[in-house]
Amino acid sequence: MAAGRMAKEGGQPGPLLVLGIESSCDETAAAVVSSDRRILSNVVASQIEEHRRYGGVVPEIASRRHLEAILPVIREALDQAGVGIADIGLVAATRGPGLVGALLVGLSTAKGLAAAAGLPFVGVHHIAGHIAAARLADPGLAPPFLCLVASGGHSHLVLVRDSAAGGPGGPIRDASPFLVLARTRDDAAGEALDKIARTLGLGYPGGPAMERAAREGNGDPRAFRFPRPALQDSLDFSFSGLKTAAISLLHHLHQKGETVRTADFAASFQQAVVDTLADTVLEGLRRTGVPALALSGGVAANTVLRKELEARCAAAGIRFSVPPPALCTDNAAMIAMAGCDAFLAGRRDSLDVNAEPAWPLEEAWADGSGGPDGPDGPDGPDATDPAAPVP
Amino acid sequence: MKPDAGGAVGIRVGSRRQTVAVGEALAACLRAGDLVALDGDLGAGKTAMAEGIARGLGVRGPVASPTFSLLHPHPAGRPGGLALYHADAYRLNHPDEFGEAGLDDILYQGGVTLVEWASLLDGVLPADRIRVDLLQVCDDEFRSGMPDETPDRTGEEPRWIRIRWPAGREDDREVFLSRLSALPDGADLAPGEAGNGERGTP
Repeated sequence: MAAGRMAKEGGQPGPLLVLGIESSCDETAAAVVSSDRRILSNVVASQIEEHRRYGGVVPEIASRRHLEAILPVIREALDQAGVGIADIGLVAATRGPGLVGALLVGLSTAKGLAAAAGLPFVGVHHIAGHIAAARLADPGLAPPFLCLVASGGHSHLVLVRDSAAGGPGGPIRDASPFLVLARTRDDAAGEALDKIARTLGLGYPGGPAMERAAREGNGDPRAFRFPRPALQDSLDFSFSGLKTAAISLLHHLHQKGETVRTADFAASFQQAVVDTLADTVLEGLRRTGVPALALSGGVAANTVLRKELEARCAAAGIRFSVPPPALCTDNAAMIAMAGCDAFLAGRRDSLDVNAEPAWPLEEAWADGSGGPDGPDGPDGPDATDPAAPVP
Repeated sequence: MKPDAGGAVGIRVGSRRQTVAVGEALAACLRAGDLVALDGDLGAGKTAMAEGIARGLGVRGPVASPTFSLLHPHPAGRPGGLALYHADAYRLNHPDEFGEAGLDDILYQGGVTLVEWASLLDGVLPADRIRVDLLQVCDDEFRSGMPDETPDRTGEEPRWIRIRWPAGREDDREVFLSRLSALPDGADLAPGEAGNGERGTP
């Protein structure tokens, strides 16, 4: 293995080809990406298998389903890229956070491939993957920038720094390029959208259904007044109060026998979620002074959010980028890209690394020296300096 | 009013903050291997209750809703402390998916397991569990013996919390009640004897 690694790192001309594998939650995915940021293939099991026996809306939560899908998906990714395993120079896979059974399927397969083919291996943090998606789609995007990762499971506002050069927010205490400025205290943004969509009877997945209902019904985003929850003591997001307010408003309106216009309700609720995200992002940009914002994660597919952030960034002179939807939702191209960046920064993971179901982003950095067992414990350093109130 | 030996404890809370406080008090009588089954409608305060239990156990870091990721494992926050496995059944289509997703493993890890939307897993979860129900509307059966006044004037809507321990855990209920009365607003949170919600079950 060592010889193979040296050969790949040493004299091989041309860009490095990276095989990425993702299986942390619902999706089984594989992709081939090159170090010059070209996507040669990006395969997600739920898409290719729509016409086969695993189709439908059943989430692929079972490890068994990942296990059934993983090899066909990798084969498909290599085929679509027109390469064989011999052309690959690095294998990257999601190491956490996620369900341990699901993670192990992708991770073990990746490590097995790396061992068999004598390739280096890098374990990737899922959210670092979402951040890499932004750079994959927009090669001009360079640190320092803020990235809002918003999905069904995550609402993270992350300061991405150049770990070699330092950056705003003071000296970097460790080698991590990532500083989480805000995360959700309760529900993720996508989760709030999904749950209210279900309450309105709009179907699944709820976020896109709510956007459609609001748009097609020409919903008035000011028809209902919802709170724009902001915590006093930090930048953290909180969507459960907004969710509860919406449910209790619906309940009271039904009790009074009033008809609720679904399009108006959907538009108003969606606007409240978008405003809450945008307010926090703009405050984060103000406090850190970084000149660029990227949006990623499944909720990045929401047009209202994209437009709102685009407009506010334009007004504030901030560079804004958002990847196409296929790179925003869970995929393996983003994992390949994040693994590639870490590898080129010197990161090598041993083949005995384990899945990390509760891996803090701050501890998943490029030099590989950190880990969940580091001195700061499972939740990492309380490095929220730039999130502190600025007079 | 104190609950009788076989009864559930019912508490009326006036704010999210008080729901968290009740969770902290409950954590004081949790042991390794315990399963807390948490039920209540959307917005009832399940994640707030989970946050309180996590704080009470000494678990560090944010406690967010595990709906999409299905499970948030929280390692023990202090030496000798208990880990918390915070799971959510909302997104499961069938009780069997709890096992298929590997979630049943967490019941045997020597920590505390907390499952939101546990009623969706009837027949799958062990019967020997602590059941916590959060109600936004107090039903008549639950109302018996409940204090009437809303204890907090935050403008938030009240919630009713019903806690039921499995047989043999009467001592833990006493620990919980003493913790509850020791809270700063303990007098407001004086528990009542709640209907146990299951006619014909002792």
